[in-house]
Amino acid sequence: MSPSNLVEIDSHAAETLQYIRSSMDAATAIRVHGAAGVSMGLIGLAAMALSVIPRLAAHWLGIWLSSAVIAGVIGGALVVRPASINRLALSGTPIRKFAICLAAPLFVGAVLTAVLIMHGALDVIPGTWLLLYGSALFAASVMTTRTIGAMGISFMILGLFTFLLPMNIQILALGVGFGGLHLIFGWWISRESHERQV
Amino acid sequence: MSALAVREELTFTELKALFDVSDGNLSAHARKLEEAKYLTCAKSFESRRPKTSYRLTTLGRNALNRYLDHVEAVIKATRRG
Repeated sequence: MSPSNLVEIDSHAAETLQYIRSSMDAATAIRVHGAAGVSMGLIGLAAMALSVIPRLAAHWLGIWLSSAVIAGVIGGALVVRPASINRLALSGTPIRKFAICLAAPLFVGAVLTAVLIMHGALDVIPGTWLLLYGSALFAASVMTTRTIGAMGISFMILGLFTFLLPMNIQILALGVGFGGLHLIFGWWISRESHERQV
Repeated sequence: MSALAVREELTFTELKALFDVSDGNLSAHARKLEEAKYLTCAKSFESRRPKTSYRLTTLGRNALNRYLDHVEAVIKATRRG
């Protein structure tokens, strides 16, 4: 067999592998565990419980920022990438797209939070958080399931209403969103994955 | 089969959109893989519309793994040469 034939076989095999890998990437949907939603929901409810205690009410911003970091770490750890088969590792494209979709609105949220704190406009922070978190979830739902998209829309609607509420009720709206919606959708996602396994 | 290796289940419509193939082409491929027991096919109704779903069997997954091993071996062997 001539060397030129060997090169053709090699490139055909590489193309085949590339095709299989891209098919897997295209078909991959990031699976988010319902446990991620439930855990984040419980953290949200705890943050709400702490921030309505009169002695701690003045520190609501710090409480919610801390809980966001904790919930982000736990939620991130529970987003599981589907197992690749054999030694053909997935190229990581789906998880990268998922992260990019989430990152842009969350980055905007972080910048806006700093700007709003600097300008003393604390009364628009809860609505902004809910709206931007919802848009992050909605964008990321392209790589996950429609349930995540529905959760994103719910957060966005709640965010819009939150802008109209007085400040003390806005803290409760944060609890309803980051606590209640996470719990409800976390339970829903768990139920869906349980039904798929039955 | 590669798409079904990373998804528990895919419907006929999803597979068709994923690979941009005709109904007849996809049906023929799926039937052959089903006959080889590499795929299982389930027919149901969703909102009164027929739904055909495919799943990869253990036999199919093993066959795909063997195929990938083979392709990787070809690449390694030719690159060493």
